[in-house]
This record gives sequence, C-alpha cells and structure tokens, in this order.
Amino acid sequence: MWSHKGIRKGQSWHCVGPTIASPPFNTMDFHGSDEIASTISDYKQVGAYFFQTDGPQMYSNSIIQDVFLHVNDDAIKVYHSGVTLSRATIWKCHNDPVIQIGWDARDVSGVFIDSLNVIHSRYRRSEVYVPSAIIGGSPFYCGGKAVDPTKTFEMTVSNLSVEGPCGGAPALIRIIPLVNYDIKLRGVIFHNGLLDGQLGESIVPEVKDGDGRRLEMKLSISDWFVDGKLVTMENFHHDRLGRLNIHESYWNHWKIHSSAGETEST
Amino acid sequence: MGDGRGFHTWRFEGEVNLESMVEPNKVRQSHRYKVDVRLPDGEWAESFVHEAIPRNGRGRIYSPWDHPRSNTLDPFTLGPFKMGPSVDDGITTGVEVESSGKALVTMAWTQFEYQRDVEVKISRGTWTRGTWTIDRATPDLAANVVIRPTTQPYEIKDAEDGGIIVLVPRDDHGRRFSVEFHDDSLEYRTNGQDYVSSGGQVVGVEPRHALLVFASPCLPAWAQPLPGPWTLHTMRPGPIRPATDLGSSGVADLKGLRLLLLAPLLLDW
Repeated sequence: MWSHKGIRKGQSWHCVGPTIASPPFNTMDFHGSDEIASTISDYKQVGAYFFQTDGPQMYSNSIIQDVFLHVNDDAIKVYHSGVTLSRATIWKCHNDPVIQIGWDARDVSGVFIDSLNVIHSRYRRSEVYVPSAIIGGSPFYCGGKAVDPTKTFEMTVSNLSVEGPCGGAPALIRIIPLVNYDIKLRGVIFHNGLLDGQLGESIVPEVKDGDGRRLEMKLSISDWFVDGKLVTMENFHHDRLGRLNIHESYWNHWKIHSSAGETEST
Repeated sequence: MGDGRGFHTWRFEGEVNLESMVEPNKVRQSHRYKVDVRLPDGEWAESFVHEAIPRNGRGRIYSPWDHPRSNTLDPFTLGPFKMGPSVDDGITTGVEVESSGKALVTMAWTQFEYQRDVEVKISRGTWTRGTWTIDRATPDLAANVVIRPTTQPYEIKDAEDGGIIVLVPRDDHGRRFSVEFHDDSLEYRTNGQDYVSSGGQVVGVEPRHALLVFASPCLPAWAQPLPGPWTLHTMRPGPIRPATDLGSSGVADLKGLRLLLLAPLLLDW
C-alpha cells in the first residue's frame, strides 16, 4: 500500500500517525535501493485478515516506535542492520511468525526490539517453513541458496510479553539455521504459559554448510517466565517448562539465566 | 491541538454496512460501538468508530481489482475448462466469519489526538434504520472487560448510561489498546492440521467484535513541515483522485520527493 518503484540510496521515509485498514497484501515495500531509512511512529494496521498482510519493512538505520499491527504474515521483518523498534503491540493471525529473521542468509547486526506486546496469536498447525512461533527463521524461500557460515544474524529483544488464552501461547523460537546467530532475549513473559503439544515447542535443528561445518547458535535468554515460573537450565527441556528443543550439537552455544543469579550450560 | 480542549476527535460520513463495499465518499462505521472522549468532568465529544470486516464485503476475491466480479478464488468454468483451484485466502478459521455474505467477525477502531489525561467512554449498541440504541442490559460491565496489552493497566468504571469509561493517561508515546468484553469472546480451535469449529485444541481467544482505541500523541515537532525550498503538497480528505491530488503530471511529480510526511490519515481498500 506504501510503495516506491525507484527509491534512491540515502532517501528517508517519515511516517507519523496513519491507520491502515483492510490491507490486501504487504503494507510497505520500497524498490530501487535497500540503503534507505524510515522513521515511523504512531502507526497502526487493522483488519489484516488476508494472508500476506505483513508489517512494514524495517530498512537499515530505521527508527520505528509506537505501533499496533493486526497482521496475517510476518509482523516484524528483521532483514536489515541498525534498526530500533520500540513499543509495538502485535495481534497475530496464523501465517508466519511475529518476528521473521530467516528465508535468506543475511549479515544483520545492531537490531534492538524493546517493549513488544503480543496480545493475540492463533496458529492452526505446527510449522517450521512458515514458523508458528514468536521468533521464527524460515528456511530459504528461493532455490539455489546455501547456508553461509561467513554471515551472522545479531539481534536483541527486551521486554517481550506474550498473552495467550488459558491454553497458552505458541513457541518462543523456531529457526532453520542459515547463518550464524547471536540472539539476546532480555525479559520474556508468557503470561498464560505455552500451548500443549507441538505448537508450544521451540525447535532449532542442526544444519551444516557444504563442508560439514556447523553454524553457531548463540542464544542468550535472561529472565524468562512461563506461567509465572522462571525458566532455567534445569527446566528448559522440550517436555518441561521452557519447551526448548535445540539440537544437542549446539550445547554450550546457548544459555538461560536470570539477572538474580546466572546458570549456564556446562 | 487546534481546539484548545487538550484533545481532538474526528467525525466522518459513516455507513454501517456488514455486507458490501461502502459508498466511495463514506467510511465504514462500527455497527456495535460508539466512543466519546472528554477531559475528566468536561463535555463529551464523539470520536468516530471505524470498522473493518473480513474480505471487505467483496467476497472471496483474488485481488482488490477484481471488483465487481466476486468469488474469483473459487473454481469456475471457462468454456470446456475447469479453472482456478479453491484458494485459501487466510480468512477461513473454523469460526464462521460470514453468513450469507454478512460479516460475523469485525474489527472496529477509533483514533483521537490528546495531550492531557482523558476519559474514553465506550458504548455498545445496535443500529436500526439509522437510529442507535445503546445496550443497557449488562450489569457490572466494567468488571467484564479486559484491556490488552495487560502490561499497561487502566482504571475502568461503569458509565451511567450503560457503557464503560476508561481513564487514558497522558503519554508522549500515545496509547494503543484493545478493549475486549468477556461476553463477546470467540475460541479458535485446531485439530492439529486445520481450524475446526468444535473439539480440538483451543489456540486463540479473541473478541468477535474487536474494538481498538488509538490515543495518539500530538504531531511531534520534527514532523511539522517547515517552510523551505521544497514543495509541500497537502492532501484533501476523502478518496484520492490522482488527477487533482497528485498534480497534473501525476506520479512523475514524486520523482523529486525528498521527504514524505503523513499526518493522521486513514487508508482503506
């Protein structure tokens, strides 16, 4: 709905206050150059019942704050570096994750997402291709691509709040690794727990490059509460509180701790 | 804030319509909610409540440009050929969203600007031949509502005439929240593969008739256009008319665009 066919390097898009209603597709895509920035605030999207109604693109060096997105595809698209997103409320329909970090191998760094409230989500089936999760990394959408161990995806998410029905919310994270990862999650609350069965389970399988080298999976989670209980290195397992199913080959890459006292995988 | 009241509301030419496209010069108005805003103990001012309905009253279409053809996602026959598989447009959820073309699931919203604490009154009711009748039947309505995100709590009280009043504190970042009545909730269920209308696992509980309140801060200073060596193009309210709204050379004018500023605006398909 917001589009540009020939945007040039260095241009900026400033957008304050609009409400986008009943979008039929992605609401914002600019073509011509990726080296542009946007400043978006008080931005609302409603009635996004159709598939493929993504949230806005977050180009490099963008500042996005105070947004409300009803969305039936990737809500927050982390494809570029140097992006700050603050105070976002997401009402998620069933296609793709809340935060999409995958489907291509990208070098991304300096992404900060703070005060993210997921107020609704409803996934009809457990997926990894279009991940049914809060944070999701899809496998390659285009053929002919290979995992790239020279690239790293780096992001920090703080103050993530997920509300669900009494049955719980979908999984925290599902990634099909395409690059190395360095993800920090600081303060995560699943107010009503995680869904029983597959939908509540976080999944990160082992992926290697053509030479058999494993990708790095640096994941650091602090102060993560599920249904009021603290997730630790003692209860993270796929069949316990955290419902984390990270391939055993990544053991020692990742850790869960609390700011009150750290416990690390050893 | 132009009117000196510490807040500003908008009103539009509304059309209550759960079945079809609205007239081009009108906007879809909530069939269920009315919202008023005031400073504590001041005068109420109505804030127009918009409404979105699944498929926008256009049926199961492939593209917004298919109008007036409908159901272009469904199989059809072209001469001897059967064309077009039945495509999932993302809207079918096991919950019945339409009946005989009439929306059963809706999403309403209202937006106002404010720079002081305000009270927001939310009333539920029904329209009959252009006349609004407020629901008065539910006692203790304020106790039967939740505002999400719940991480930002609000003081909620019953209004004397049947609605609820929410105190929305001044906030430089504004507030955007969902007002959800317990007697209006809808369960989304799955059998593990697809949505089902009964049985299975509950994966979501949402209001049937959603209501969002967007309390916007005033336009920040950096976004106020300053005089300078650029062309300031001001859009008029109403549908965009390319010939007059985009200039005689149309979109070509946008090639020199350095900055696009958008003040509160509604975009609707």
